[in-house]
Amino acid sequence: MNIIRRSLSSAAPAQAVARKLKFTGEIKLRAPIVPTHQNFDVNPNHPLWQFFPDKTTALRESEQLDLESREWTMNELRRKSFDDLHKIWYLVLKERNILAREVRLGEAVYADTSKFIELDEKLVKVQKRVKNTLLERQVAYERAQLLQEQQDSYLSEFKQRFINCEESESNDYFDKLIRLQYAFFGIKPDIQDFDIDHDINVKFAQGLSYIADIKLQRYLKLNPDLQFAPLNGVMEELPFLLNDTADAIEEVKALRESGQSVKLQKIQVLPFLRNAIENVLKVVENEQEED
Amino acid sequence: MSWTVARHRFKRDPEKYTGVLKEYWKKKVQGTSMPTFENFTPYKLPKHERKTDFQVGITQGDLVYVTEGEKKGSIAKVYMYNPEYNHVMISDHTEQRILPKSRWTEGTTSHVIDMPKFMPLTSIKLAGKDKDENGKVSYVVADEVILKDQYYDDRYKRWLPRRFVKHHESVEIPWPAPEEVEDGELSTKESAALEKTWEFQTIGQPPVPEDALPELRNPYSQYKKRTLTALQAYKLNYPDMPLTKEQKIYLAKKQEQASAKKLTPLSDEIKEFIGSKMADHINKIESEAMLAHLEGLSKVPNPDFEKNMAELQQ
Repeated sequence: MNIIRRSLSSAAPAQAVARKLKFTGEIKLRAPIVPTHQNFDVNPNHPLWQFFPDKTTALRESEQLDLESREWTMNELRRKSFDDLHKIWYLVLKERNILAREVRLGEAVYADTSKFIELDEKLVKVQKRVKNTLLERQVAYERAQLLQEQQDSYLSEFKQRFINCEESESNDYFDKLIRLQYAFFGIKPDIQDFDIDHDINVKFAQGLSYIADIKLQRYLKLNPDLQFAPLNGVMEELPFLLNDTADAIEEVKALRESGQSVKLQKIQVLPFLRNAIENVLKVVENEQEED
Repeated sequence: MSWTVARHRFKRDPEKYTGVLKEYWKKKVQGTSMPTFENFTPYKLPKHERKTDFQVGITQGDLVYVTEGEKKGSIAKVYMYNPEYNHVMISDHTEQRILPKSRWTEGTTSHVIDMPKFMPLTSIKLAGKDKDENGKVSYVVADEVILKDQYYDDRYKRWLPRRFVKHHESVEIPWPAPEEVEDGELSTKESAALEKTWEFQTIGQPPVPEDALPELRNPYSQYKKRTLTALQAYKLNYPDMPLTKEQKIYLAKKQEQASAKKLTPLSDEIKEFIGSKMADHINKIESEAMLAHLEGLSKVPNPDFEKNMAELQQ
């Protein structure tokens, strides 16, 4: 109340001039600091620069936008690997972030943002198509899993052809087997490409027993005099994937003589395979280093 | 939902109006401006009726013969085809419009400006240019065109129909050369776009990593839930029948009797039967790990069992 009364009083200015402030003699007044962005140093590598088209433009003109370029088509995206699609997705996302920022700014200053939105719609379309492409692949994969009967009949038919093929076709059929083991069971042709955690799964174990069986049958067909009991579990099947059939048979024989050949419980199969393949990979690596 | 879609959802869309409402809306839009400034635009075609330029048979760069208006009889070049209005914009064909000062842009000096005129397809006819041996230019005007067959046009990088004069199908009017488009900032090189980096080679491994799947399919979708909410269940079930006083007394008594149910010990015969079944099953198990697991399981205290046994002994 006192303040109001003092300020309303007509004598107040006169009084204020008359009464001098105590510290005016001691403190030097300097020019005020103007609040401007030029007084700040911004790191040129700051991650938020990614929301800007370049480091000098906050809001582009509509003419500066690339409105001529078209979207990626489904046919183009279908040829791309997951990693490529992942890259395209994030490039598009970054561009959309820049546009979204510009549109928000443009709305604040009443600028025309229709062209920005037009461009963004194209980018949204690309993102939708990327998702759609991946989903198409996943659906195709899932549907193939349901065709178990067809898969089994093809595998058994291939087995007959493989076992009974001519001597001259033999190499062709071994190449075919390598392609088949990847196509049906996901077993990569080169052991060094194996991803121990993901690739060695139930399918791998199924494929292993199929391959071992088919190779052994072929060998027995060519050497009818050989006495060899049927394979007993993964421990005896693994050599057939890693080595030639003749070597594998010798290896299994040695294993049987030493009495170490055991049929593993289901729960032990995958840990055994992982362990064994890891050891083989280590040996291969050491050999490469020595070379 | 993207930020552009969200915006469209709550917006008025006059394009969807039909009949009287469409007329009303047009009057409302025109209503405030003076007749001099009236900005007449034809009705937009509904989306399902719109055609592309290659479906209609006239595209950018084509020559046309004008059959109506001031420049009737002249040959002009098509600048663009507008599928929304089914009109074309052609060269040397403008109309004068009056522009209020509030709409002037930079460089405007007069209220009267020349605007490109949109021509309906009924007032033009497609023309083909022909040069004879002496270099004399003549035009072929097609009253109607028909589109037949398909060929791959390397200039447009797409499949296009061939264009013939109707009733004179030996006369083909080829599509004009497209305008050259320069690579933009966002465009990808052709070699990079066409490079093949993926092929479906195995059904043994999923093509998409497991962690990426929730991004493609919504795991929280309401259509995937196997349980109903309380409200949904309430709507699906008929309401409970109101009961009389006597019925309530009867049901309460019945419930009292049911809760007073007594446990009786098993007879030796049944105990033996259950025991033999369990022994049969356990003898079949070969895996030592499984047996050890069952052994461990039998030692886990079961509070329900103990409670029942205590009740029996009482």
